[in-house]
Amino acid sequence: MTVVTEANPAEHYATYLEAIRTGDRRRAFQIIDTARDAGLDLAGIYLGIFQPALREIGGLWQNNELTVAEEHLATAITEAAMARAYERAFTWSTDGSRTLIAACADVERHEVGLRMLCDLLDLEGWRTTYLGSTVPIESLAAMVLRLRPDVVALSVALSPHLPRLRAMVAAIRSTLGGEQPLIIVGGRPFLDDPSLAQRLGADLTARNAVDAVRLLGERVSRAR
Amino acid sequence: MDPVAVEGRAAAELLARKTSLAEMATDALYADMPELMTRYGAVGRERCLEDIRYTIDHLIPAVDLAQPSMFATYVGWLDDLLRARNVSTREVIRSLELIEQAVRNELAPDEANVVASCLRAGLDSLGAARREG
Repeated sequence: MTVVTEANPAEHYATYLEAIRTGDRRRAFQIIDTARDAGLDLAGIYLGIFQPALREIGGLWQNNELTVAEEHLATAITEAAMARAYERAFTWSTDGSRTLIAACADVERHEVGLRMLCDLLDLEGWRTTYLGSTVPIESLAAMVLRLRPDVVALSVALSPHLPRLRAMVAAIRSTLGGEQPLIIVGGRPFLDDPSLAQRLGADLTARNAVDAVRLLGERVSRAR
Repeated sequence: MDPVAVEGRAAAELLARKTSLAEMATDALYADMPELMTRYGAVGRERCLEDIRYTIDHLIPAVDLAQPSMFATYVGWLDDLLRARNVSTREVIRSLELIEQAVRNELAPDEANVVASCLRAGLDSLGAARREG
């Protein structure tokens, strides 16, 4: 095995992709541990290794080079590797004064991007509440009303779920009345056309989790 | 958005009639290309119906948001996916044309027009080179 000393995600990307492509969970974990030991931070691992690897896995499925089962396994391994990397990166030194609730509009499981956002915000001192996919709209709105977060983050991977995202935004807007949270949206349809965010009633969108962390950091002040 | 806009009505109609539109388009495709039944059998026909329903799922938000490019992106993705599974671009094109035909038969003319403009954007995205496939 090559000993990697630089904090460069590209060094680890190809081996990680090969590990999840072949369903080798132990090796995938090992590669990520090595990347961390080499000094790569969580954002670098997420955006430099996990995200491009999962995009490539999706492409391989599209090209009929991977089965759906293999694709799901690669995703499951990556979710576990994310949890492991996050646990190793998290410290209790953060204040948790800024808050965010996150939910996916999809009814399928395309949750990794939003999970990345929550993890990276946690490390920046936010308190995040991650709900995953298929949350009933009324119960999402009720939770937003109860917790009054600074931000609600909603994601959608596939365009057929955009109407559902629009309904989520509308429900939050009408339930919250005068004191609105900032609503950020993300996912493939917004990469293709960022102007969709405002058309669906949201406040902003971002190209990836790191950009979203930076934008939200600018928009939401620490002391409220 | 304006809920009474023609795009919203057309999207709602597509959603309500998705299954029957998909069945019409699949029937027409198999009548048009009888070799499909020989090649793929009854299982293939079921898959085709499923794919056309999925295509209508992607057509709906593009119509609703008046965003034909959104549907064109999907069609490019679908064509790559199907060609990797030995389904030709010619079949994709024909299925889009037959969805349009079913929509014109079933929806009000103004609704059918906005749906057709999204379908056309999808067809246009399958450039001349790909049509040979």
